[in-house]
Amino acid sequence: MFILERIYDFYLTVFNLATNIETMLLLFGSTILGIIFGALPGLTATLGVGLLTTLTYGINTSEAMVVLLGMYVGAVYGGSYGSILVNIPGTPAAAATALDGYPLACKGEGGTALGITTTSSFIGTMVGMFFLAIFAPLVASLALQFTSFEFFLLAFFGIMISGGLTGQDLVYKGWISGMIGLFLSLIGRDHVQYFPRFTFGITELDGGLEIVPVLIGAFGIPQIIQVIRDKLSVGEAKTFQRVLPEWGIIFRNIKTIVRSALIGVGIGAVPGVGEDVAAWVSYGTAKKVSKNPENFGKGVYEGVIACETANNACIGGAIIPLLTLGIPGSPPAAMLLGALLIHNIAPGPMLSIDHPHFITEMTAILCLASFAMFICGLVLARQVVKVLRIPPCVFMPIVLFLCIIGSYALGMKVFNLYLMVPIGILAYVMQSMEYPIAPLVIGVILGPMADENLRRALMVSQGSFLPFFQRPVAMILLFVIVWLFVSQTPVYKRFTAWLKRKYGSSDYI
Amino acid sequence: MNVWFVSSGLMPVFIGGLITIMGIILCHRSIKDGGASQFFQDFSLRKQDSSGEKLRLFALLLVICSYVYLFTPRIDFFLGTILCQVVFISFFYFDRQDLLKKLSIFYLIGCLLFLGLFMMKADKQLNKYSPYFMDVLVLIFFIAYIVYCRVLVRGDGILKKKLKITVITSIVPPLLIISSFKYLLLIPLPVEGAFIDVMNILRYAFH
Repeated sequence: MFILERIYDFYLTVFNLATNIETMLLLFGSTILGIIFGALPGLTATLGVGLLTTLTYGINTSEAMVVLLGMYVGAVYGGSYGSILVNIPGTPAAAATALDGYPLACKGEGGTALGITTTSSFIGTMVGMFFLAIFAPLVASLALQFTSFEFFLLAFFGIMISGGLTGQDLVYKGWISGMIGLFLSLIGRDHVQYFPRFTFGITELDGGLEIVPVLIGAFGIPQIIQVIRDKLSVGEAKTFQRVLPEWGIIFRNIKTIVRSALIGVGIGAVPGVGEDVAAWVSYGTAKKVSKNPENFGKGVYEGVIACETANNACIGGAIIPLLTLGIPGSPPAAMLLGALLIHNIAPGPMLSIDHPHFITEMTAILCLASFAMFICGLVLARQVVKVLRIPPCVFMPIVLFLCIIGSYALGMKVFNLYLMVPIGILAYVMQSMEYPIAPLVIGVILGPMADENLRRALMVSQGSFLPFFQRPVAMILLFVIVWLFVSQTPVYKRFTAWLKRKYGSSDYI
Repeated sequence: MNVWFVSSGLMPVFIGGLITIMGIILCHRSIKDGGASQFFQDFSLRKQDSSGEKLRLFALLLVICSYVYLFTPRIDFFLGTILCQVVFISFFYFDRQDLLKKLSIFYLIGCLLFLGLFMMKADKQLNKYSPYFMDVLVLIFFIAYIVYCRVLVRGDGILKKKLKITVITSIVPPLLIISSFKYLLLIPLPVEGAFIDVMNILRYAFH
């Protein structure tokens, strides 16, 4: 009965949203904007969601989520336009799509490739939405059992795993990036004793660093610097005919769709990792299990399907830990967290108690956003492609202006801008030294959670660390964190290499 | 209760310790990989690289920093925005190293002059004569910059067209976005000077 009630609630919410003209206009408008944002190289879904967060400040929470999710879904999908038509991915999530998408366009199958990405993205988003609907309430009810010990370890685990999986170079760089983020979150008066930390007497820092200007600075400024400094130029886009849903090709590759969707949701649920990792892992897996792996990279439909299904399924996966634990599963989800806080919605285990209808509403909005993306993608592809002709050096200054006015508008403090620029430059310097930025952002967001819960936990246990070993979930998290750290040590690597040599050789088959 | 676990410094010590440990591991790894000699070799290779990238980076940082730290807190927001937009776009849209160098020197000199005025608090004195004195000075600088661009690109049809696009793109989008923020979202702008006051007059004249 409870399940039937939830299903009824979901469909009723979808109906209410779909029959509200204002909501539908906002949804389609933000989805189209998201597709354009995603298509333009140098602009990311994270930046799009961050810039729109400011604009949604004055509207009600439901409409704000419609706008932001429309932008998120549209931008993740829109990245495939650049990948397929000019071999320059619009977003990092679409980087893997270029490997097979562009060769397809060169063969004259650009329209087919776009049709496949549109349908795959639609299916991926719907699968993500399905998992959000099923697992979010379960995770939320489990999280209600958590105490300060578990929350501290969860925050720490989020930073460690994000640093471990997003680093291009050594994993220590990802962890250092996460620790720098944690350090930045400590600036201001602490939430337990209100003692100022690292404020240097500057009263504007008493409240700490505001999340949205920090996120806009960390993601926007490095992107602008990189595009302008590297003189990114977009060549002539490949022409294409009509964009059709290509259901026949999709059904012939149903196994790839299912596998990629599951990979996308699974990776989305891991804190801070994001759509780009999901796409690459899915592509790699599809290539590995394919009967003809040598054809990958020359224009196979499977390659495009694997990437686009996974990166859109990741959206639903990333929202699960965001809503239930307050831990964003991807950088755009981190921006969504900022937006939720602005609208006085505190994500976490208490969300289902304080706002019982919220998870259902988000699921319904995600469902409608996927339909909006599907329709806009099929109908407006030829028009959206025209934006690829705009030189990056013309639209990047406008993006800078939007970053500045967006950061200022939240709080109406010029000081936010003073902070945004150095954080942006720091993020750029870190990126150029191959330090990933996602863990820094996760650190800034989870820092207060880690700090408060650690001290609260120690106050409860009177300084004893024993409860970390006595509580089962805390012990599992502690074990995983220690294993993550130990697995990077030379001793462990030598041990696993020895094991592979001993048990992996043909003598033992 | 004065015990270690309620201290505000607990988390900073913990994080500082972790950063130190990981920094030491990273340092050890970098010494194994090549050490200081590799670092100096890379550094000298980078110095030999063409200065084109460095100039672009310098010009970009000049625009961003002047926009945020120099003009936004003191000058009419719309005027400061269109000035920085026209500078930013013209720097990179013309796609010529020699023009970038000349324009960035011109802009840098202008910024230094304004910085001098602001540091001597001359802007407050000048604004006593007229509340829009500094805005007028910046407007003159804006016009001078466009005239200088015009002089630099004369004889080149493609660059003249690019200059036209630059000026239009610098004025129209900020006008639309600032108007939306001011009149639709009702967000007061950082500094509302001459241009914003004119916008207010036009907006409310027909209300």
